[in-house]
Parts: sequence; C-alpha cells; structure tokens
Amino acid sequence: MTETPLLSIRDLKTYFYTYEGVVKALEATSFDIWKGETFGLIGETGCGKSVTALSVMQLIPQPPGRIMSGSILFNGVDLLKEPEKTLQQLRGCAISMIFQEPMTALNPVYNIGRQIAEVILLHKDLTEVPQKNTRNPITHRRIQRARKKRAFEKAIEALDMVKISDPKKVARQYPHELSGGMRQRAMIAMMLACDPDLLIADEPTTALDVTVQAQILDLMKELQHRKGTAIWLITHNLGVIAEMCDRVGVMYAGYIVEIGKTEKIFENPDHPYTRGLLRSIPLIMEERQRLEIIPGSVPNLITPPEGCRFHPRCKYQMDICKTCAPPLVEVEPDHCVACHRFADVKYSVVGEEEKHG
Amino acid sequence: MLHLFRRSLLSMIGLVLILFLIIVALFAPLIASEHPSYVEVQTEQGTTRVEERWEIHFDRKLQSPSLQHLFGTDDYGRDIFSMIVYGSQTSLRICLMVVIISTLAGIILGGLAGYFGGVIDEVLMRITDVFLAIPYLILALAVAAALGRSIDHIMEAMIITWWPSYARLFRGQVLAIREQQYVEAARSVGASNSRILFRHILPNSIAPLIVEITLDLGAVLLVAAGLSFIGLGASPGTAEWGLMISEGRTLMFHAWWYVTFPGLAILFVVLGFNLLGDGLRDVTDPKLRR
Repeated sequence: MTETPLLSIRDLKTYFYTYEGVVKALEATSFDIWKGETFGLIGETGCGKSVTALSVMQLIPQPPGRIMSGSILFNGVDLLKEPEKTLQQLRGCAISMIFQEPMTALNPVYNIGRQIAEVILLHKDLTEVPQKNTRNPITHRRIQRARKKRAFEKAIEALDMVKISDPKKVARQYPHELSGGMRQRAMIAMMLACDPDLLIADEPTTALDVTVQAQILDLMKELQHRKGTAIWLITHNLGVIAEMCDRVGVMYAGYIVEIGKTEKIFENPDHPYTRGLLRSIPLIMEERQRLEIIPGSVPNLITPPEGCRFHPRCKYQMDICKTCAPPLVEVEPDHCVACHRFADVKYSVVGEEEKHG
Repeated sequence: MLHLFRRSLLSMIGLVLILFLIIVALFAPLIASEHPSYVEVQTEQGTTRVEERWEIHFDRKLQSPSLQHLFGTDDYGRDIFSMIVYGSQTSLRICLMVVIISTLAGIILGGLAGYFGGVIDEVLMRITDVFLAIPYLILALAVAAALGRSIDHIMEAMIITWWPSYARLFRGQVLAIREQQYVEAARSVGASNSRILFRHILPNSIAPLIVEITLDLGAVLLVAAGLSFIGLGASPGTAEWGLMISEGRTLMFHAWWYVTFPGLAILFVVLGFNLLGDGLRDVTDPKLRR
C-alpha cells in the first residue's frame, strides 16, 4: 500500500499519575488504520485498548493521565500538536466514538432527536438563507430556528438509517424509554450523523445480549459499506473480530504484540499470547476436555515486568526476554510480531507437544 | 413526576400557600384596603392630598379587629391587614433576591470548581470556605452599623453569607455528573467546555439545588424577619413582618392582634416553602420514593 494511512499511531506513550505511582498504561504503541477498513484491537481487560482509543480522541482525563510522547497522525495531521479548538471540530465530525454502555452514554434530560441534532448543529453548516419577507425580517434568531429544525429533520433521517422503526416517534422519546439495542442504535446514528472518516467502537456490543449484538454488528458493517467509514473495533470477543475485521492488532500490557491480517493471525498466531488467547475459546468442532488458559493475569502496570511484558506468563521465555523488550518485526507480509522467539513458537514442535502432552 | 407531587397532600398545601402569597404580593394594591404608609386625605377644599400615614390618624390607633380593620390597627393607626398584604411584597422580594443571586453565584463558582477541578477547584473552594466562615448575624450587624439599617443592606449581607452553601452543593453534584459517560460522549462529539457544563451537566445536577432553594426560601424569610426584629433590617415605618412583631411586642397584652397576625403570616409562608421543598425532594429523589 503506497497511500498514507487514515490514522497512524507511532510510539504512543500514555501514563497515569496516581497516588500509588505512575501507571504506564501505554508504552510505545504503534499501528495504522487504513481508509475504509475494519481494524480490530483485542486483548485482556486492562491492557490499554480503551486508553489507546481515548488517547486518539484526546479524551484522557488530565490529570491524572498524560500523553508523554509519540504521534497520532490523522490524515497527515498530528493530533497531539493541534489546539483544543481544532480537536473539538474533529471529534464527532471526522472521528467519532461509540461507547460501551449505551445505557449511560445518552443524556437523560434530552430526547434522542435533540441529542443527535446537537452533533449535527456543532459540525454542519445548515444555514439556508430564508426567503426575504418584509413582514418577517431575517433575524439571527430566525436563522437559528431554521437550523435547529433542519438538524432535527436530519436526526430523524439518521435514526431511519440505523433501522429504527418509527424514527419520528423515537426522536421525541427520552433515553429511558428505549431498550438497550435501540439506544445503541441511536448512539450509532448520533456518531455517524456527520459521516466520520473513522468510527471508534469501544466494545460496542459488550453490554448487549447476543441477538442484538449480531444486529448491531450487521448494521455497522452495512453502514461502513455505504459510507466508506473506517471502523476501529475494540473488543475482547474474538468471534466478533473474526467476523468483522480486515486486520487485527493484539495488545498486551500497553504494547502491540502482534498485528496483521485477520486470517493470518487466526490461522497462524506467532506470539505466545495470541496463541493463548485463541486457544482459550471453545471450538464447536473439536472435542476438548478443558479449555487452555494463560496462567497468571495482566501485570500491574505501575511496576511492569522488565523486558518483554509477557515473559512472566510465557512458556517460551528465555533470558533475553527478561531484559530486552522485543521489537515489532514483520514475519510475513501484513503480519508483524513482537517476540524474540516467534520463529521457535511458529515452528517448535516442542511447544506443541508440551501443550498437548 | 407531576402526578407523584399531586398525590402528596402536604406538598399541595405548600404549593397553594406559596401561590396564595405570590397572588397577594402581586395584587397588593387591590387587596389591601389602604396603603400602610401613605393616605389620601380630603382637604377642606374638597381635593385630595397624599400624606404620610403615621403623622395622622392617632384617633383610630390600636383598634381591635373589626369589619373595617380586619386585623385591627397599630399604635399609629395603620391598618394591620394592609400592612401584612404590603409586607408580603417585601418578604417575597427579600426571599427571591437572596436566593436567586446566591444560586447564580453558587452555580457559576461551584460549577467551574467541580468541572475543571485542580487548581481552579482549590482556589474557588478556599474562597468559598472563607465566606462560609462569616456568620450572617455578625455581618448583618456590621453592615447595618456601617451603612445604616435598610432591607437592601440585610439582603446584601445575606447573599454574601448564603451563596457558599450552594456553591458546595452544586460542586458536589457536578463532580458526580461529570464522570457520567454521556458527558464523555458529549466531549467525544466535539462539544466545548461551556456547552458540556451548561447543556449537559447543569440540567442533570440542578434537581437537589432546586429542592434546597425551595427549603431555603423559608429560612431566608425567617432570618430576614429575625434581623428586622432585632432592629437591623427594615427601617421603622416599613411594612415588614418581622419589624411589625418587634414593634408590637411591647403592646402584646394591650393589642394581641398587633403581633399575632404578622406572626401567623410568617408561620404560613415558611410552612408553605418547607412543605413545597419537602414535596419537591420526595419527587426528585427516587430513593425516598416508596
């Protein structure tokens, strides 16, 4: 690919200064998202997926959070160097974000239509010069009222787009009157109302039940086809990733440990952590007594392990892993791994035998 | 929400009392039989002349309640019913001014402190603490001593001592609401700070403040009447309930009506505000709902 990526994150480092110490949430995270693709980011709870997304949006609570270094290039513009004013224009317009909890992400005091209209009003110029009328001179107030009306109509269109039946009625309803799935649809309508280039979906279906999950994912896919939006999907549901994503990144304790085409990673995981993740889900075709687990849990990021952060839990670890963090190297086209022993992991029969034996 | 309110008899009584007060205050000139401080006097030439009330009418002083003077007259011959009716204007003005200005100050300062946090929060809250440390009585005394006794001066003194509690209450609310996800969502769609604070946080955190305000309206009235009673507030001759009680106090055994009716007026208005505030709290706080 010769064109520039839509979003390019390089060596992003985000720390949180808490009472207990400095939480090194992100340490040199780098990846790209291309126009129109679906990129999945997976990893255990607390490994920095959401922090990455919030860093891109620059919504890290500051203090305690702080983006230490790195760059976030969006369409060639470094977001970290832009003033807040520019960011406000970008948020919701060029980049928007769907939150995990549709229950709490909508403001309870405004009706749905008004909340969607607010986004449209903030970013779109809906000003139409009203017809000259001697009895009713064109006042600022009249123009504003016309804008609001148009925005509300657009909000109804947006609700229609996410397949909410009777959007006119729903637009006048309040969040508590809607079901979880409806609210998530409304959220998606709100976030797609301004045709963003990049949609960040932070666990968009985790809080929903399975049937609704499938509907929401289908909807997102369909809207992506129609509008060419790039979707950055954050989840720990591997099924969702396999279903939706073109490329996938695996995160562990603030590092991208493996990144590449979804099929390649699912067929041929090279990082021990990715392997562990993939082996820890039940397969319907195979008969297994017990699921494999990755021993231990995500390390405390105030005092992360030296070297490769995965080494205390890794069965392939050797001495170099304890001192030196492995770089992300390309093992095949569109597939990078950060592990000193990826070759051994890949070809080692020993490891496989150990597991099955 | 409204039907819950309607179901509670006590809050409806409160609402009726307060509506009654507002109507009386608005239509005082129509309700009162005469103006307590001024009177039109027929001259020998047949024309009318406006005179100050208390210079005349010593002939009808301290009359007991009758059809002509419903609540009797005072020691200057003024009609107590009319004084109470006009006094409602004074009371309502004090209550509303003190509470509204304090609330605005509280919302702005508390909101800024809670929303931005950090240094701004520290500075604003320490300033609030300083004001919270001033007792209203001492301040009212000082103001009255320095600027002379007047209703406006006690209003100023009360505003200065009243707003810190609102600032604190509102700051606490904002602290809780700003962590809500819809606030983050609003930020993620590119809303500015002022928009988030006033359009998203304010409507969600105003409910406890409204309850507090309603309950405080009664308290403000009591404090103002108290200040007038001890001679710091309204200047003599004004139709003010606290002042009337203070003036009638010495004549209590000769003219029971002089202290009783202003006292009842204060009682019912404060009761009204309290019942209304309680009702509002029950309606807005789901935890208290049965």
